Amino acid sequence: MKNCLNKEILFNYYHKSLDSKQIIEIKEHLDNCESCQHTLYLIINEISITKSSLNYLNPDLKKIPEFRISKNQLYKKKKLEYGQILSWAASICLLIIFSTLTTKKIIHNQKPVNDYEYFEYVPDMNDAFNNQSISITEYNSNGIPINHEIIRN
Amino acid sequence: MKISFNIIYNQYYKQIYGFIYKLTFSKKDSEDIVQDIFLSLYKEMKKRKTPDNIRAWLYKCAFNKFINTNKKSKPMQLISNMGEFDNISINSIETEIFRDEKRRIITNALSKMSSKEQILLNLYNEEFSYKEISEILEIKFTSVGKTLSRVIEKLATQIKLTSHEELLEQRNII
Repeated sequence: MKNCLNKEILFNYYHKSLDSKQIIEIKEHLDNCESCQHTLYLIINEISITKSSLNYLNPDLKKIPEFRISKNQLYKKKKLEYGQILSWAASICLLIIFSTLTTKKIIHNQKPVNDYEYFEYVPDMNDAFNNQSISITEYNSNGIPINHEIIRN
Repeated sequence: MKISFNIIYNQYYKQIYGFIYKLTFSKKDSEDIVQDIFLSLYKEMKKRKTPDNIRAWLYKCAFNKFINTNKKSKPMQLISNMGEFDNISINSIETEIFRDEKRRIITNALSKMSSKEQILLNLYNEEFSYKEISEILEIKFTSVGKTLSRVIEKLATQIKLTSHEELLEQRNII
């Protein structure tokens, strides 16, 4: 007969895991197809072999042991929780340090806007060359900047 | 809470033990894993509440524990643990030999399958629905039927083949 069903469909048909329309169609086909009837017979046989084989391995358990729980088994998770808290704290600390350093760097790279900030500003030579100008800062013996000049070409 | 846990423990211990035993073939390993599973359930019940589908929850836990145990240690050696069958009390020697032989054929056939395939077969044997199997093994619902049909065919063929080979060997010996 044409359009024979495959094993998977027949397997699902046997387990009734198809919709009602499909089940009716397969039933009609099976009534007229000896080949599919044989395949279904083989499937049922394989299922029977599998189930009986697995049931044959059932253990011989005479008595259910009493459920016992020790304190160590209960506290095991608490230790894990402390570990988790520590790792969270460490990661937060690292985040704070990193963000502080980044903020400082951003502030440091900003150009001066008033006289006071001139002394704080450390000029970037690349920037100076790009703008075709050179900035000079003089320092006294104590290392304090006393003069800051920008020479433009 | 404690009473309900005891009821669950007594109701499902044998089922879970049987399920694990058919995967490990070791009494000691099975007892350890089952103890671990019920400990997880105890903690779960103490922390939150009883799972909706306790049976499925226990089998899912069993599946995870078995897979983890297999990852940590070497894969369970079926044949090396076969000696434990000797301890089972059987009336006559002939019956004992026959039983051991049959078990050997089945376990040999099972050993040629992957852990997941063995678990799938055992879940099917425990009368779980396709939906429950897909949830426990975390596979697609649509692929359960396909995989099951393939795995059942594989096991049945393997058992038939091994039995046939054994029979031929016996004939040659005689």
